[in-house]
Amino acid sequence: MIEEALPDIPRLWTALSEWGACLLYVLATWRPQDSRRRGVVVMAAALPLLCGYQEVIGRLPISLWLFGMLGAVAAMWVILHLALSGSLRRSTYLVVRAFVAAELVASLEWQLELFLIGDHAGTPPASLSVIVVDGVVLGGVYLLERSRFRSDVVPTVATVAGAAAIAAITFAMSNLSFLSTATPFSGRLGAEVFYIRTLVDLCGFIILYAQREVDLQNRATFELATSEALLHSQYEQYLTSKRAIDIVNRKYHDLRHMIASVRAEPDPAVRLERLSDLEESVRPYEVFLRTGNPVLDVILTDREQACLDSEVSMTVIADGAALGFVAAADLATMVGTALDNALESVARIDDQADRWIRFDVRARRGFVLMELENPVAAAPVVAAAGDTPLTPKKDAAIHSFGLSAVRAAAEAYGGQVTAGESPQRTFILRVLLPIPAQTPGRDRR
Amino acid sequence: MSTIPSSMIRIGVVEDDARHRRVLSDYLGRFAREHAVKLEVSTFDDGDDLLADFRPIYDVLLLDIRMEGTDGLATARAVRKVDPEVVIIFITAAHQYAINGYEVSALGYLVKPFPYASFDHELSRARNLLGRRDGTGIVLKDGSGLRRVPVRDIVYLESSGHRLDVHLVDDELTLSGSLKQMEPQLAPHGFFRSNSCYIVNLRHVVAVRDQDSVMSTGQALRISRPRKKEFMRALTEHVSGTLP
Repeated sequence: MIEEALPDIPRLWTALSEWGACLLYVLATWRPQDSRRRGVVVMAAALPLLCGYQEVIGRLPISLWLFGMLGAVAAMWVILHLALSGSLRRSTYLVVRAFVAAELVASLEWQLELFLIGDHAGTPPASLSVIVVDGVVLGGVYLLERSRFRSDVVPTVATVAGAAAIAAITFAMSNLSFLSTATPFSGRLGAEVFYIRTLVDLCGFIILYAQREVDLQNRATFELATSEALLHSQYEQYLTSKRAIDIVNRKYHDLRHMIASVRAEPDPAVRLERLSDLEESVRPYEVFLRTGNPVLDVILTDREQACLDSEVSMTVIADGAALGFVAAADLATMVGTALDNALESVARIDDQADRWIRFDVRARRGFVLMELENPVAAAPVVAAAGDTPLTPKKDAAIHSFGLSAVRAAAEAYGGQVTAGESPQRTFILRVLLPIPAQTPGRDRR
Repeated sequence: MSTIPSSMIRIGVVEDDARHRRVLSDYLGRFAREHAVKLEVSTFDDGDDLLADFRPIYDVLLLDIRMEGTDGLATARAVRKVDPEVVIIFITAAHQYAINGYEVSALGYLVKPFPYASFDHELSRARNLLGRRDGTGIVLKDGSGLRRVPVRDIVYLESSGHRLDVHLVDDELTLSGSLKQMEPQLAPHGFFRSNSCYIVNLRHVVAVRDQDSVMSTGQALRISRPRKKEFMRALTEHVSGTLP
């Protein structure tokens, strides 16, 4: 046990730092929609409650110390959750950070207090030191954290779990010396244990800070990929329009010449022949196919032109009418994105015989199944278990964005997307959409 | 795959170009060799030839689209009136896409001149489909003895205590045993354990609403939350494997 000569942090001091840390995170993550009055009430009530709680558990035997600390964490959780009224996950993430900050500031303050005023530490006048040190340190942390939390905090489960593990380890390591001096990681000299505790808490805090930093960076990368994919598709659209305009211009000139030559032709037989030539020359520009869904027709006709350009043969068997319940934009996302991905992948295959795409849409009872199949280009591009495929290319982000866009669109209709490589070395993407029941009252939940 | 029948496949080839007929019969010979399957091939010069005395005896029809007289699509329509089951694969020349294969529930089409690999791929799909379609039965033992029940007649199995209720389309059986014992026997036939007390026949799933699978008989059976994703995956595979 710790030597009697050096008392540990008074309970009241701990309560003050915990309250201060809660206040810091409430302020740092404050959103305009949070209720100001509620925040003030909760924080005002929290101060005496935390102090009272720490005084009570301070009287408990040391064997219950850990449970007392867990109770304190729970109390901080309740405070943050009530004051900020966010999701459970968000509150959990914040309480983990607040707890480590509280531990750090309490430990640091106590160390300074002992050093500066020695025997007077822990007496009522020393609370001035608590207020000054806690205020300065937490104020500094606030400045650091404020910019990190400017955007709303929505941590993933993994992030929260990671943060909680970091906090738990930090807490365990920093307090080891106080539970027993008989471990390889415990300090044995009086004042040294305080310093170890401060250092370990500081490390924990820095790791949490770095975790948040990495998190923000990942999100920025994803947003970048999203906007790049958007730009990419806009560019594709531009190319398509440009191609269409070029064709129209060229055909216009050709047609003018042909019409002139028909007009000038005196021989009726030759004239008829020229007319059928003329008809033949515009035949490829008729609509690729009629599936019973005008939106699908446009999407397919457009991609058909691209297929012709890169010598890819596309076969389509589609019951477009079955997709009548899907909004045009969603259909364009699902079919257009999937076809673009397939086309891009297939166009890289050298052997022309392997440059094909099969696209089927079929209805069966309450479901529509869209199936897209194409041969796999050189390297296998599929992650295990048929999840998001990994393209070996640099623009993998755009591709996986493509698939997640298809998935998001399908999920909006309660659908399911599976993608994966078949034993025949082809890539198959399947989208299964439930056909909505034709009830007049749309939503009966 | 175990569901592929090893028995013979009857194939009708309708093609008016002798040269293409030869290519097709070469390909069919190679397919039979490579997959060790017996094919019985009948060849027709055109659609009228096939329709003259048509009986629904074919498993697969390879139909050229552009033919003198009755073209491939018209032939397919006529065939479908008599035989809703036969697997139809169209053969087209390039840039002749404007056919609607869906109208006659075609499996797919091949664009001339196609390499053997495409042919193999398409015929393998047809074979897979035939394999899934066969009307296999499952032997169940109820109180009165052994009984063979066609797979398509089973809607779902429900466990109740130490017994199993087998809900058929128009009947119900009770057997002793557990879902756990039945699962391996049923899984290859398009069944899925959607819950601790149900094994459902995916053929009979007509809708999925929130956490329930709606069966063709109208019941809504709960899908357990952790199995929902796997259920949807199995359903997708199943629907894809049994169409058209």
